[in-house]
Amino acid sequence: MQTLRVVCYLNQFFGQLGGEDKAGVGPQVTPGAVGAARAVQQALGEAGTVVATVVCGDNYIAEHPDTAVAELLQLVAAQRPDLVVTGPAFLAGRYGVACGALCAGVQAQLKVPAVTGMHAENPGVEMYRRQVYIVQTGPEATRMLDEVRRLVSLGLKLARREPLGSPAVEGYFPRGLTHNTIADHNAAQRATAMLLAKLAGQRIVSEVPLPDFPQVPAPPPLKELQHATIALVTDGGFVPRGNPDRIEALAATRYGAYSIQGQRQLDPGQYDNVHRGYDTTYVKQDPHRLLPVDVARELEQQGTIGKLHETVYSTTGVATTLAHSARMGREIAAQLRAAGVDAVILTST
Amino acid sequence: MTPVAVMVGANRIVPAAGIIHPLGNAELSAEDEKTLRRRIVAKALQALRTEVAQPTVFGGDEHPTAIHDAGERAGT
Amino acid sequence: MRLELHWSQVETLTAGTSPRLAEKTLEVNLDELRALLETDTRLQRIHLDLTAPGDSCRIGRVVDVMAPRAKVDGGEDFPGVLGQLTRVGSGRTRALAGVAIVVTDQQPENPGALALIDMSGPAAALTAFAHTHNLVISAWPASDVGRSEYLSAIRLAGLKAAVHLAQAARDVEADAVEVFDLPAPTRVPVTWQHLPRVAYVFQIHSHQRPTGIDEGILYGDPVRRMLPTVVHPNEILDGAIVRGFMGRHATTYAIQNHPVVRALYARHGHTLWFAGVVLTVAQATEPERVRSACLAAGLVAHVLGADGALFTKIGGGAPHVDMAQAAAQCEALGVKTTLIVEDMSTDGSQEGMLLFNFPGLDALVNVGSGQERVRLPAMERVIGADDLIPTLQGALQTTYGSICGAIEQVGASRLMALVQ
Repeated sequence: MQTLRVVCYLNQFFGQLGGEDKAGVGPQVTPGAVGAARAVQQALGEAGTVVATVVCGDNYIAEHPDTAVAELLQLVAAQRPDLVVTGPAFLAGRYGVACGALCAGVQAQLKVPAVTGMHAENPGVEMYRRQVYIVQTGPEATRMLDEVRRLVSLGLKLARREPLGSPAVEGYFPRGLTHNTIADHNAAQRATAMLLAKLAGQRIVSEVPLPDFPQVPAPPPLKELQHATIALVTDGGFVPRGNPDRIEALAATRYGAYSIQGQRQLDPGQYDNVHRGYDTTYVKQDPHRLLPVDVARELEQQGTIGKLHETVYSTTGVATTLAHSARMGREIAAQLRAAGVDAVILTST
Repeated sequence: MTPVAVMVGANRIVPAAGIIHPLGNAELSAEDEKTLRRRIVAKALQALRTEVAQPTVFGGDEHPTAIHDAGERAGT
Repeated sequence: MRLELHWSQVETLTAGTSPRLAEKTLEVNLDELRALLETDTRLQRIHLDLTAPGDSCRIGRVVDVMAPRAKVDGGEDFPGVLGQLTRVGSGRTRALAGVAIVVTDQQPENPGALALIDMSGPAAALTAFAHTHNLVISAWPASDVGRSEYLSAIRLAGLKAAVHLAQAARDVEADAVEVFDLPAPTRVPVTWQHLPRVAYVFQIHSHQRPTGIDEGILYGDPVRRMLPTVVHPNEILDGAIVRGFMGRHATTYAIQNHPVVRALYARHGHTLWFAGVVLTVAQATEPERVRSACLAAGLVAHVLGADGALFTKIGGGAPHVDMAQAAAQCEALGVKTTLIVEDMSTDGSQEGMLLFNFPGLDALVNVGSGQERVRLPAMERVIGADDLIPTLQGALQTTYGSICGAIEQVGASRLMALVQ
């Protein structure tokens, strides 16, 4: 197996330039393994050589967020590494964030594998664990040699494109990404074993982590309806005939805004439906089964509500990613707010 | 699908008349269907006027006889 | 009820003059079988292909897969759908291992939506159907045959072929006999009363799409307004349940070889007492969903007296939630649950995997992500999809969910989404 070229990144302290007094030091590179990078070389053994150690002050990076990482990447790239190891940063927050940022940049722009390590409470974990492999360490450098060994072991697998074990086995923070693998037993057998363990009161490891959605603070209620502007929105796949905005039938990334100005009701002949997650026969026959324009107009006429907003919004809510759903929601909300809408009735299928 | 709505944090949730026709019911006559739709929309408007601190399901009465009352009340 | 499955292993499947099984070689008279299937006037042309594990062959437009089974001693095959309506789950049934019947769709609604089976290459490791000798049925609709009628006809063709093949082994001594013997849940011998009682809640259909009138699922009933009910597990193994027309990550073959039923039977009397099976359908409205969850939990806790229950679902997101509601009600009654779910995420993120979060539902097994992409190599031969040969013959990028058998929601497959 060929010896890998490894570049290490350290802050001013682990790079032996000094303490807080040197935190403003700019990016610099020294050939070979310097300071804490020697632990990396020790862990690498014959498998790799630390060809250079890049050092930068924690304050420099914090104060030059746009340019510092780019400068560091140039220094790293010049060394033509097969693997980049940053930190470990333990509980040092600025250092952890810098390690995460540099690893992310190395992966994205240099297309080189990178790995780092830090304590669970280091802010760098939450910021970068989805993009970067971060090995879990203690709060201080007390067990640095062991922890560096785990870092290097993971780094070598990445560099050699070997398959990784689960986060628990390899010691890194779960990146929150799922990947198909082939288990030793079928799902029915695994489920039976899991149920028996649960019945026996044994600890079980669920194959799916439980979701944890953030709380959405509830907007205060409308004081009255007579002067309120109400908008209608749906995720039921409602589109005008021909789907002019090309809203996707699955995993939508687009939504449409359609005028109902002057319309007392929706003419089924002018509309269609692209949703693939349910039988759309009934909502195509009568789109009011999704967007109650007829009833809302009546309420507007009667004075029960102040105004039915002139635009309806629609997208397709099947297999839509959380990220796109949240984005579309934010964008629609911004438009509605700008138009003076007070409340929304969202019909979901 | 109200459990999904509760889980993702929607604060005001009104159960509708089914996935394939949330604001209608093909088995009803056109008039009864419109009455059903009025009732669900009325419930939605009621929810918009209600203070909530967390995801709240504004449960429906499913009996058609109650529809007319709710429809009339919504008009006041 | 006591059921005996008499198994014969098949290692070669060939076309021949008579249906015959000898020395692990199954000979099928394709002309005779074709003539049998062509008696259905809803079909105008039938084409049969054979393919073996290891062939450089891609089967396209797969709509369902069946396992060869035939009742002997006067029983009825697939009662209510093919055979006469009578109870199954007892007596003797002939079964062939190593063979499957693959039914393709020659009237597809969406030309792009395809399920495929590769008999070799990387996809072969993912599905049981790359390891069976497959009889592939391609049947075209007669003119004026609607979608529901056509699906009914081709499913029936698959079931007829399944019986026809298994009958070839009728007079041959079986290689192995499996006995499935389970008394009623109240009759537990004293020595085994300490074992945890485990029930299985089997969601057999999802009403995201209502069933067609000829879309029999449970003893031929289209289960349109089915409330939770109890069956004996042997009935599942012996043809009482076939898959409906919409088969997302589910095959009739997997039901016939039901992995949960088999797993519970394997441990029955050792580490658990198999308390029974509750059948449900995933409902489309909230009141129906709540009612179904309530009844199902009641059957599990108060009628079967289960300590634990295992759940599977069929269909997409709404059934996933429906299953969770039933399980949550079980947990509320003190029954510990384990659910087999699909990874519902569409972007590979952990947050998108599940659509529910109920107290007590902390034991989850997953059958993988259907959305994750996979590259497949070119194949020499494409069957079941002549018009798609230009696209299917070459290397292609597809999803795991498109590989028939890679994801089986009843738990027959080994694909698993790992959170990393």
